[in-house]
Amino acid sequence: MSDLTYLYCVVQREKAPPLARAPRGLPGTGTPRAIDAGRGLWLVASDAPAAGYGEASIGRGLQDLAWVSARALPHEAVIEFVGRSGTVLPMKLFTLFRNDERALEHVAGQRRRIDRLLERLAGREEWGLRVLIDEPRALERAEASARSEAKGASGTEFLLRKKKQRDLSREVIERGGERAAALFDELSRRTDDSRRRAPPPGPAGRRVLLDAAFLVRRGQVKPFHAAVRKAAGRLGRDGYELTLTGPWPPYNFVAESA
Amino acid sequence: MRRREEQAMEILEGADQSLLDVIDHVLNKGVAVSGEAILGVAGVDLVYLRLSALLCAADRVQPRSRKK
Repeated sequence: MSDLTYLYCVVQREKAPPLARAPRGLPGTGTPRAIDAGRGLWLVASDAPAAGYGEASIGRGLQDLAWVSARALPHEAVIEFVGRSGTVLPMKLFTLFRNDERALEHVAGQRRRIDRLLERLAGREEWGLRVLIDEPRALERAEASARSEAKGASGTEFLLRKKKQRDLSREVIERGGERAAALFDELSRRTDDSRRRAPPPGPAGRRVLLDAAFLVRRGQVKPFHAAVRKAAGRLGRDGYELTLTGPWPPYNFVAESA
Repeated sequence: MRRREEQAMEILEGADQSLLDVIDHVLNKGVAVSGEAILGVAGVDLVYLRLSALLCAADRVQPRSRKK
């Protein structure tokens, strides 16, 4: 069987991207090489043996997190390397074509969309934000504040406060979704683009309220971080946790719907 | 105030990004790939992988001091 063409990314550059020092890429594949797509566009790809990267092999491999991991990291490493030399459109893991010609055809067919995307992505990076609520902790905090108010109260007052305490707990949790949405809107206004992804149902007690990606202009990263930090200060009091990851190549901003 | 922020927020940059975060980003979650030219995995349901990536990453979010 002949080799397939594994595509890492498309990069905008006048000359071929320097790949002599590029990471090795996925296990079993050839060293990454540049393919000229014309008018300042290059594909960064490598030869992938059909035996290891055919549909069946990938289908089997996807059942195994370790197998996927061993390919996800080199994929990301190559794209990050290329990203230092120009604006990249990162491909998702396992973007494979039968050969170079097919890869070039695909890119030529999408050329207008690609050019538009490159313009929007130039000088920007992706940052990921997750907001979680630790429900037991949120409840504990709400209860503690209600308890301190209830100190030394009469029986009736105590019961009233107990009720208030329950309402408070419910409110902390119910309002989580609203507060996450408000944060997303606020950060969306500060950034060039944003995507909200459907958060998965978390384990009991730890709910992912927000899973979002933001496209941030390089010069705006500091103020963006400051805004997230400010929100963390505000939300942290009530049992929320924020995780910011990045900078990423703009994986979430190259989808077909983008 | 500062202390509270540090507990509630974690910034993971470059080498600090977890493996699962990487997987979460690079996986094709059913993005339409056009034509038979592509042997990608658009048809494969990867939701479970993304889920475990997110959940494991979530476990890591323990209060600890912010870097730098």
